[in-house]
Amino acid sequence: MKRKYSILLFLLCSGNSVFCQISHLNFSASYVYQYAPAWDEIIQTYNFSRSFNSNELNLFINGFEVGGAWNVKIKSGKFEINPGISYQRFTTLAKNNDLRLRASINSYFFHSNFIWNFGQQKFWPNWLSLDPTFNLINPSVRINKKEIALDQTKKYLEFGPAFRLGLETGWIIVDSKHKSEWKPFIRVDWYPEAELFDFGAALNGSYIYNLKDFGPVLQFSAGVRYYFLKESSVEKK
Amino acid sequence: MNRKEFLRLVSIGVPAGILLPSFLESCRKKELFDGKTYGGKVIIIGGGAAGLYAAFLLLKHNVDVTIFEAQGRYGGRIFPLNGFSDFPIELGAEECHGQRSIWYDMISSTPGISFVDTEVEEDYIMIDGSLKSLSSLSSDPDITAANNLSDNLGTTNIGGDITADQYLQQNHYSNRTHTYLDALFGNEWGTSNDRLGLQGASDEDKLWTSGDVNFYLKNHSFLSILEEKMPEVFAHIQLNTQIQNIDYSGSKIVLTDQVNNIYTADKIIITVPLPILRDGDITFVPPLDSVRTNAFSRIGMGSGLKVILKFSTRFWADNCGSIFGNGLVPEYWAPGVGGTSVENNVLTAFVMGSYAENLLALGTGMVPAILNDLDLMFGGGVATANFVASHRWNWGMDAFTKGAYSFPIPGGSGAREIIASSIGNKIFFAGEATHTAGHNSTVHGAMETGLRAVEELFKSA
Ligand SMILES: Cc1cc2nc3c(=O)[nH]c(=O)nc-3n(C[C@H](O)[C@H](O)[C@H](O)COP(=O)(O)OP(=O)(O)OC[C@H]3O[C@@H](n4cnc5c(N)ncnc54)[C@H](O)[C@@H]3O)c2cc1C
Repeated sequence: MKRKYSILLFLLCSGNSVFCQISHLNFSASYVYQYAPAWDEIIQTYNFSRSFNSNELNLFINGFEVGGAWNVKIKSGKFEINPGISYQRFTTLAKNNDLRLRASINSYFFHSNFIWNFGQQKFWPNWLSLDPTFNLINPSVRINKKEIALDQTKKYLEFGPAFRLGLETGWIIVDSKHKSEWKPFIRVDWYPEAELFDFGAALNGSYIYNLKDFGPVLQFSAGVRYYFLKESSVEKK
Repeated sequence: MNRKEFLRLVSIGVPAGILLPSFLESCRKKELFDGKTYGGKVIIIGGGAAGLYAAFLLLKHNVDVTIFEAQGRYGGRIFPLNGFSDFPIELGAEECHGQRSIWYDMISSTPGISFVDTEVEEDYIMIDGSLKSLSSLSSDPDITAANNLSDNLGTTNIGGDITADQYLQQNHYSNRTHTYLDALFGNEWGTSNDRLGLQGASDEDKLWTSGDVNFYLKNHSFLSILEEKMPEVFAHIQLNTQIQNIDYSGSKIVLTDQVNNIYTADKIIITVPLPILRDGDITFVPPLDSVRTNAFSRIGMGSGLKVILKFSTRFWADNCGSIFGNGLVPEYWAPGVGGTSVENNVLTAFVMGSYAENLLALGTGMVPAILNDLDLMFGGGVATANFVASHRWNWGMDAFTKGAYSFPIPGGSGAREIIASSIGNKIFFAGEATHTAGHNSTVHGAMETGLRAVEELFKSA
């Protein structure tokens, strides 16, 4: 698995110099809906066993992702790669007298994002992208803002590597002065298996319920990507 | 797409985007067994932490449940001694181990609770004939070796299924720290180093996930927390009901108590301490299989006592946590932090395994011997001169517990899994000894087994 990740990273980094024709910076923000049954069960167990809490933890369903990327058009303009990084967060809070327990998942993504432009059309999407992504997932449990450590040798819960495959499609909106471009998009991401190291234990304090920290994850997102255009790239259109 | 078209899409998309997340959230269940109940009758045997908590979970799901408790009180090994001092003294469980457990969460959800973190205290040790603070011995190689083994037990290669004593001898641990090592291992695990299986202890240590900081409570007893957080449970307890026979040969389970009263249930959860099952104090029809009955004997549980001593003056330091003793008592501590007056000049002698048996053999000479031990440590006959009263609780002699708490012995690997397994979707086992992931011998571990049994029960329903 590790070799695969390195090849991916290599492709990501080398993309710029090999194909480089026109490049520009872009930023994205999206809402993410997540379906992760194994992680749900960890939180459902917490809620079931802590019915004395004044509120329940929400499942990690609604999150957000923000990112930046460096878009590189391949000669014909029909293909692009958009390597970049992004950050995703799901978070939930349980209140319990004076105790505030916040559970979160923070993920850091390294995208490759291969884009195929099939031209402007009225309503149908203008492009499609395939995005194999390497990421690091960091679960966190904080009690009254203090990160908890399961044992004193480890400061925080462990980061775990994962891999997700994204399929994204969307539209292109160019502003009248051709200085920027907006790309509203929708996407679906699939992790064959993703692990929240130690999260089950950090939240529930035990492994005895056969809780699994890992499992497949499906995510649906909707968001927008904003491109700063260079003169040359606009003229090409 | 132009800007106008985009804005049109946005005007539809934004309200949908605001409503969608909460709609999607409401489609998924936040809680395990949400809305689920079980229509049959459930009986829980034993009203300790495991039984009370299992009943609490079942009652939340409207299950018809009764707890049968052999004694005239509930709580089991959660047992406060009131009236001896100006704060409740715990004769059983006293510390909340770590911050990641149901028990910690339950305690901290109690209004007005105040925790004392044992890390802030200074520990003392009797070594080379005098009492010293442990921090002053941080460069002592023998103390460092003992502390290293304790801190890294889970990652230490024990090299065989041997007792702690055997390991310490094989690895030439110094005799200077003999009692200290007994306090850190055997006594802490509810026994003594000659009985503790160190490989099992290491395996359990590896699985520990509730955190390393220990707390005790300043102004509440453990029992008062259970009473405050689970009030609905106590109306469902039938005290003074010792179950002696369980007949599970038919479709209903038939239970018989000490005065031949008969009760029937569809499912039962057994939470009694390990020795009650090991010694056959409850008979089963048909009898339990030999794999299970052998497993009862592959886990240790035996002598253990607390002796509480009250003095007219406080001759130990104000910040004193533990005092590691001279050879008679492996560990003393000062539980008086919560006290508000001179009445809190209390020391607890915590004695397990062969140390407990040696002390008990002294009979009426036990308290004078302990006072003498303290006199030697603090000098000037100060303990004997200021002694006011004592109270002892011998868990080994408690007819419905028959020991302190379960501990690993050589040859015990896999035994907890066997005793934790349910029988025919009808009989479920809980109680601290049935914890299979290193949290046995604790209150939170006992509660977790109650939770496991309830999950199994719901899944089988
Ligand atoms: C001295 C001592 C110090 C401890 N210190 C700590 C500590 O600091 N921190 C910590 O977390 N844990 C500590 N523990 C361990 C903790 O107390 C136990 O792990 C926990 O309370 C066990 O709960 P339980 O429900 O499994 O068993 P129990 O509390 O023993 O409950 C079992 C119940 O079953 C009843 N019973 C027995 N036979 C029958 C029968 N035939 N019919 C009906 N009822 C029956 C008993 O009367 C008892 O009430 C300590 C224990 C002792 C003894």
